[in-house]
Amino acid sequence: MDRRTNAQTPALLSDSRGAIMVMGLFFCSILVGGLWYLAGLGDAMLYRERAQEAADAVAFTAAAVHARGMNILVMINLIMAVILSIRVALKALLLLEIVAEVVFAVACLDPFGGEALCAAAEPDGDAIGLTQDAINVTREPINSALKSLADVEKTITKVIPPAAIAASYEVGRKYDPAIKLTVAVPQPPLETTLPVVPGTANYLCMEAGDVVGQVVKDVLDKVAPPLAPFNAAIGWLLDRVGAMAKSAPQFFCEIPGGTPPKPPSDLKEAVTKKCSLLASQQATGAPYNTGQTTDAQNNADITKYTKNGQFDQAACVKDQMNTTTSKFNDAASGGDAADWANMLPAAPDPNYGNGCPIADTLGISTRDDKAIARDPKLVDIGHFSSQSTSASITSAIGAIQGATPDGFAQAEFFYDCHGQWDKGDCNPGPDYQDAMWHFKWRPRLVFFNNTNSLFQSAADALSRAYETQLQLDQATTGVGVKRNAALRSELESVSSDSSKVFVH
Amino acid sequence: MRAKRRAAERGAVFIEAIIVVIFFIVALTGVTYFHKLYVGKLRVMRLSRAAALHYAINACQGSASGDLSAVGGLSPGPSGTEGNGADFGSDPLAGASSDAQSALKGQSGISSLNAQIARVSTAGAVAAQGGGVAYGSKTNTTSWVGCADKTSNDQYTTGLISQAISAISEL
Repeated sequence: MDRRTNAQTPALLSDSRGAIMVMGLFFCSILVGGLWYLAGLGDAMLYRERAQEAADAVAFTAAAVHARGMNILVMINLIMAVILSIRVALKALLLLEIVAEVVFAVACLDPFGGEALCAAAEPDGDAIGLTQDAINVTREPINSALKSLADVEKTITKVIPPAAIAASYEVGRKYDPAIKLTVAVPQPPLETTLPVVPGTANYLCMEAGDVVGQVVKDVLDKVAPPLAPFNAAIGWLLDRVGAMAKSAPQFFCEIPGGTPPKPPSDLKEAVTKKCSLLASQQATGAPYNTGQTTDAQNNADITKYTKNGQFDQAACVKDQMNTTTSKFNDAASGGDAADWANMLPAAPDPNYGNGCPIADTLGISTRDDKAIARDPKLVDIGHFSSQSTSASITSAIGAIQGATPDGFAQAEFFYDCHGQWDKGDCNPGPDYQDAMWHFKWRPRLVFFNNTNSLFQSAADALSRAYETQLQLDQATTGVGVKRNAALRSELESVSSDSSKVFVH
Repeated sequence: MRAKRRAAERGAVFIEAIIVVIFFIVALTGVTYFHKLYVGKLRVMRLSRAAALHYAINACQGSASGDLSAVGGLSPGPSGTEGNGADFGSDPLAGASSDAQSALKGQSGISSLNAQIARVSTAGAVAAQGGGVAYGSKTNTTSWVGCADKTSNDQYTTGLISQAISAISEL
């Protein structure tokens, strides 16, 4: 037995058959292990890419809805201006008619060629009454419409923030099941309201004055091409209307506390001319007998201003100017009952500016362990940590492992303009309201800024994110989810440790 | 007898070497394939994500294929080689599709403003060959993101009217 063993040992040592196979199997095993590891690493890379994509998507979607809310407010502001422009146009027409009345009266006194204008004096007087009636009739409907639209704006500022979270939730759900939790966390003020405040009535009135100029000019361009030769003149006239509305918004929009615009300087010249012509007629000793309907009034004026056989021209000018001014004042009356405090358009919050933290939204995504089942450890290494976080959360859709989000993103809505916020085409002073009058609100992804006040307390952001997720799960599934104080405490414990919160 | 046995062992080593080398070739080709597969998948995912964001920023209007070109600087030539070296067996734009869907409407029951969601799907093919062994597979991905609004400098004529029409049409 020993002899046989001793004889076989050298043979085994000298037999090289199978040696290559042994080494080959060994290295092939290592290669297969390497392949498995490579696949795990690839899965981890793809997973992290997907998690970042989901975080980007939810943050951007929330910012897009916020921007849409701001654009909707812009739209309502513009509608308010269009509605108010009806009053501005009527008031401007009234002023033009009052001025025209004086001019036509002068024409009636001019014996050479003024007959045509004089013939328009009576219709113009009627038109003043009709315009005033139109102003009175439209007063309440316009005020009611403005108030309703202001109420709608207030509602929208409250509805948009939860709608943004809902929209981002909907987008985040599309990354399920690979990404289990995606949620948008807006800055605390943005959770409940858009950054707007009530604007001013004067600014609304100024925009309404612009509407009269812009819209009427555009309509004339498109609807009334025959008037094209007069476009320059019409444009000049409409620009004057807009300028008058801006100079005296209280008058044109019936905002209490204002004064009517001063009669133009050339109106006094016209009145002086009229009194001069009356004096000349008085000097002839004969009454007016032109056949015009204004003859009786003119003769009465001559009698009125003649004292001791002399025509008192100064008294005539003063009295005629007072009459005209009183008509201006009458035109300005009638709007005292309006509740302007509740008819105001939206304006940017004074604390808002492009890039300000109050427009920021954080996007968070975290994993489903099944997606990285080949090697979850590699995902943790991707977090620059060799230890997996242990916190978990149970919601209606099941347990979610991992309190540390795998994807962080930050997005904001902004007003698309150039330069400083309070200058140029952004939101210039002195009114600081222009940004709410243009459809230029857009969303954008921004570099993650962990110095942002929203993220100074990562624990708060995360716990609010998870609470939001729970509430949304409850809303969509109808399954009641208990608030878990212990969970919140655990999350805060996990995320308050800076070594466990990683941002990339 | 001894010489005959040594000759037989040399044959066995040769056979074993062939078996092991073949397995090595297969495995190494697999490594190459996995490398290309994950690079290709990453490439497709990033293209899809960038195109979806670009499409969404542009108010989900136009063609997402155009957006793919815009964000990726794609110039898929006859060889189908991407600029970054990722080798696609076929045109990565093939199969790219996009549309904007009203996904929030009636899908979840959550009240919304009828926001549109951009969806961009991108597909690509990955192949690796070596030692007569070939691996190949197709990869595809879909990205979603909420659409932004179309912006306008004009306040009334195009701005207000187009916004109003858009709002009404989405009701």
